[in-house]
Order: sequence, then C-alpha cells, then structure tokens
Amino acid sequence: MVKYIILRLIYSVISLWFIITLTFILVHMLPGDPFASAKAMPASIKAEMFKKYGLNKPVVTQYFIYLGNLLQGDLGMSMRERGRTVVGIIATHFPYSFNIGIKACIFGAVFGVIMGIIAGLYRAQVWDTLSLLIAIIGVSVPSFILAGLFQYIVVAIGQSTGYNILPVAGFGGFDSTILPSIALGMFPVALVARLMRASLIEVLGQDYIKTAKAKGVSTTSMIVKHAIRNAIMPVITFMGPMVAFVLTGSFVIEKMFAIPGIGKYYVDCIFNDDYTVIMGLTIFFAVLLIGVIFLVDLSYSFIDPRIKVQSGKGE
Amino acid sequence: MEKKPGYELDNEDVKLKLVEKDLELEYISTDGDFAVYGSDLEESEKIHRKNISYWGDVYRRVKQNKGAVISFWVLVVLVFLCIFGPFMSEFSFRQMNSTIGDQWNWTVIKEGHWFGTDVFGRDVWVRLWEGGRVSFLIALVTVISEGIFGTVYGGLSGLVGGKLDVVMMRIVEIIMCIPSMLYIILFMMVLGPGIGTIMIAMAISTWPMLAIIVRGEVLRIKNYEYVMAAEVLGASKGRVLMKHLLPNTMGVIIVKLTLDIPGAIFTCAFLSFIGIGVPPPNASLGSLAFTGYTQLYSAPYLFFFPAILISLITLTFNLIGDGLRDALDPKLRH
Repeated sequence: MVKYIILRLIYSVISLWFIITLTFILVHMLPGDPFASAKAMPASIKAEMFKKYGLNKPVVTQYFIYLGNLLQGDLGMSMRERGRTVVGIIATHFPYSFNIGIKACIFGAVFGVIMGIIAGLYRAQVWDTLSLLIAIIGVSVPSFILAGLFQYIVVAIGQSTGYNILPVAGFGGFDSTILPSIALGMFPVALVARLMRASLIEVLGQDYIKTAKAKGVSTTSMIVKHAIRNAIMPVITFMGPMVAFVLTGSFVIEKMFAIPGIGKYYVDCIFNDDYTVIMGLTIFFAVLLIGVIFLVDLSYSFIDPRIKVQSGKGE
Repeated sequence: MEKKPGYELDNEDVKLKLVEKDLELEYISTDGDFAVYGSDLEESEKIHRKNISYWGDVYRRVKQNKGAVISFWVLVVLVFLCIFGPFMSEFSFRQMNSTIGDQWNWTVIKEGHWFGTDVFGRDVWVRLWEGGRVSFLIALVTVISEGIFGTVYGGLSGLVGGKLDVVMMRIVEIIMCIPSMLYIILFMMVLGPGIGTIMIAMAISTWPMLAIIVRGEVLRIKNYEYVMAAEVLGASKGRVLMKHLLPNTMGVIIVKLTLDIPGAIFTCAFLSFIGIGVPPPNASLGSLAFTGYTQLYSAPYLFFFPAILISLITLTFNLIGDGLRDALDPKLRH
C-alpha cells in the first residue's frame, strides 16, 4: 500500500516536472515578445525591460531560475498588468471558478447517481429509456452549446413574459451561478448516470443480493445498504476526470457568462502573450488536476477493501 | 455384460461363438440388411450456411441495434451534405453581400439563401457544410494518425515486452497524467492557428490511451493457444503479427477511434470557440458557432445551425461507437 502511494507520488511529480518543462519550452517558442504590441518602444527601454524580467539571460539559466522560484511558490509577475503577481491573480480569480466548479461537480455527481440508480432499478422500462436518452444527449452536446441554449431560452422567456427567471451573465449571488453550473455539470451527469447504471445492474446480479433477499431484508434496505453502496465504487474513479472536464470547460463557460474566473483570465492571457501568467496558470491547473487525480486514486484504494487486500498480497 | 480383464472379444469371435452355441439360430445378418435412418453422415458433413466471418458477425449484431443503424444513415446524409452541400447553392462560402446583412426570412430564402445569411451577407447553408467538412476532415485525420501511432506504440510495447515495455508504459502513464486540453492550447499558441496545427495538437493528445488499450489486447492474445500453435507450426513473427494479433485487436481499436471522433470534433469546436481554432475566412463548426454566439439574441439561427450540426455529429458517432462496442463485447456473445 505504502509502496503504491509512493510510486503514484513519484509519477505525479515526474509528470508535473514534465509539464512545467514543456510549458517553459513552448512558451519560449511563442511568436512575438510580450512588449511587441506596445507602442514603438525605444531599443534601450526594451533592453531595460528585458533585463528587468530576466529575458536577456540564456534560456537555460531562465529555466533554472524559474524552477527555483517555483519551488518557493513564486510564479512570477504579470508582464501586462503592472504590479500583479501570478499568485495574486490566482488568489483573486480562482474563488469564482472554484464556486462554479464545485457546484457543477456536486450537481453532476448527485444527479448522475440518482439518474443511474433509477435507470438501473427500473431496467428496460420508461424511466431507464428516459435517463439513457438524457445521458446520451448530455454526452453528445458540448457544454458551450448548452450554455448558449440556456441563455437564449431564459432571455426569450424574459422578453415574452417580462420576468427574468435567472441572470444570464455576470457574477452575483447564488442565482447567477445556477446556469453556468448546470451547463458545466450536464456532461458529468450523463457520464456518471451511465457508469452508475451499468455498475448497479452488475451488483444486482451478485449472489449477496440474492442472500439478502433470501434472508428477508426489505427491498429498500437491500437497495440502499447492499446494492448502492457497492455500485457507487466505480463512480468515484470518475471524479478525477470530472474535475478535469469542469476545469477546462470553465474556459468557455466563464467567457460566455462573463464570470471573472481563472479560466476566462487564462484565455485572455493567451491573446495578450502574457508569458509568465500563461506559464503560471498552466502549471497551477496541472498541479490542481494531477493532485485531484492522485487523491481520487488514493481514496479509491482506501474505500474499496478489495484493492487493499490485493496490493497487500502482491507485496 | 461384465468385462473380463485381459480378454477382449473381437466381432468375428462373437459371431462364430453365436453360431456354435445356438444352432437353432437360423439367420445371421449381413451388411446390406439394415439401412441407417436418421442422420445421414454425408449430409451432416455438408455446410449448408455460409461461414460467418468475424466482421460478418459484428455486422449482424450491430444491425440489431436500432440506434446505431439510424445514426449510421443520419451520418451518411450529413457526410453527403458536407461534401456536396456547398455545390447545391449558387453562393460560395466567402462571397459577401453587404446589402443583405444577417437575415433569415422568406425573401432571402426565395433568393436561394436557404439557411439565411450572416452579418456579412454570406450564405449560411454553404458555410455550414463547409465548416462541417473542415470539422470532419480534422476529426478524421486526427483519429487516423492517433490510430497509427497508438497501435504501433502499444503493439510494439506488448509484443517485445520486457524492459522496453516497462519504459514505454511509464512514459505513457506520465503523459496521461497531463491534462490534454492544456497542452493542446499551448501547441496551438506556439504553432499558430491553422487546420494542420489542430490536427497535430489533437493527435498528440489522444494516442496514449489507445496505446494502453492495444498493449493490453496484444498481451492477452499473445498467450492464446492458437498463437502458440501458429508459432509451433513455424509461423514467422511477422505472420503471427499480421494474421493473428492485428486482426484480433482491430475491434477494440475501431471502437476506440469511433468514440474518439466526437471528442476530436468537440475539441476542435472548443478551440475555435475560445478563439484559437481555424482562422477565418475558413470556417469550422466551432468558429461558426462562436461568431453566431456573439449575435445570439439578434440572429439566433447563426448559433443554432452549427450547434445542432455539432450535436448531431457527436450524437451519431457516440451511438455508432456504443453499438460497435456492444457488438464486439465478448461478454455479450452467446
């Protein structure tokens, strides 16, 4: 078990280092320099600016300086907005993204599990077909199309009745987070529902369910205590990819709903050639995702006793 | 009758003994007396039905899946329209008409703009199929290059095994840890927007999963008796690879690639939507949807036409992929 954790940790660190290096190389291959779009700058000032940001040093030296700063938690300064550090940018903008992301994840997990349970219990009946239909549509329709559709419907209703149900842009109270969260959460809902259904059907065919029935356990407690508890395991593995999906989906969704989150900021930086911010945010996203996937992996092996036994035997 | 050890009766012996013992037995049967009824040996050896090949069997199963069949025909229509749709209209995808602007009503439909016009007066019908063609092309090239690279990598790793396998799989696992969208975006930025760039960036991000799947399949099949038999009979490594390993892994590869096409179309649309996809005046479905989105409330059809087309394409590929997976799944075979 410990061996497994350490191995996983080493993998995570290596892949993190890999993405940091890749990001560094790619960002330095970007066409244009960060001061290119500013009004014709005298060469001496430009040289001074390069010196200030350390761009005049050899690339290899820059790389090691960057790695060193990174280890101290310093992601550098923004090259576009004077006086803002990348860490500061993350601190201001990330809470918005976190707010919406966590809601989308909860929405995805809860509704997905409920739909999957209904579909699995009433297999090959109307409810099953209906939830499978919702699931396949949820998997197929991209989040940004759903977002556009929601906005259009809400605005159309607002125009015809003169009553705005929900805000379609901006970040205010709870009601302004509903639409973006649903748009982001639909894909997870669909995938979780399909996973849950398949795993519930498998569990319902197991012998211990028969035993429970034979013992005279009531249907409700059989389903809740025996079936669902065991069927929910595979769904947990999906949590990692779900966070990844919600995070990348936020790039578009935040732009569409005018939410000042980190995803929108990231996309804006891509257009501004803001080297340090792009690098910093990419690394931040990578740490976040790799961290979450690592934790999910660990939690899975803690929750499922079978994995513990297996790895124990293997050692 | 009890058998006596060490003594076995021959057929001839029995006959002779019978004749000796029971003299009143009048008749001893000879060969031609009895006809065999019931199963005719020659007839039962005949093959009445055509052999069903592996793919014939898969086809039979997929055919039973209504969703997959309908999706297939919808897809055929969509592909047809993407290829020939632009030629049905008299307008070209970059032809502007500033006097019309964005409209979708009876007057422009009568003029031949079936799906209306965009803000520059360009024909939406033509641009839609043009965009669809670009998206299909990108998805297809991505998936094919993914297929080739993933199969070669995974196949090599599984076939050679040993230390090479360990090293190759560690590399894949590390790459898998990296969120693909991040480095697709980085690649797009470095190489500059363009159709070729999207293909490269997406092909790079999708192959590791396929490599893992192919390796697993190769490892599984490599240990089967028929592969061993072929090796014992003197088949060369190349023959084993081409005759046994490749055809048997083909199923999982095709399912994976079919299910990856919607992913590729989605990623392509996503990139265009955040503004680093296919550069104008070329259009992909994503960039059409994005420009349409900016006029969502004044001209909603500009957003909804490409949106519906993207959703239809991904939906049909998902259903076909699901159908194929079920058809190939050994668990569902009887």
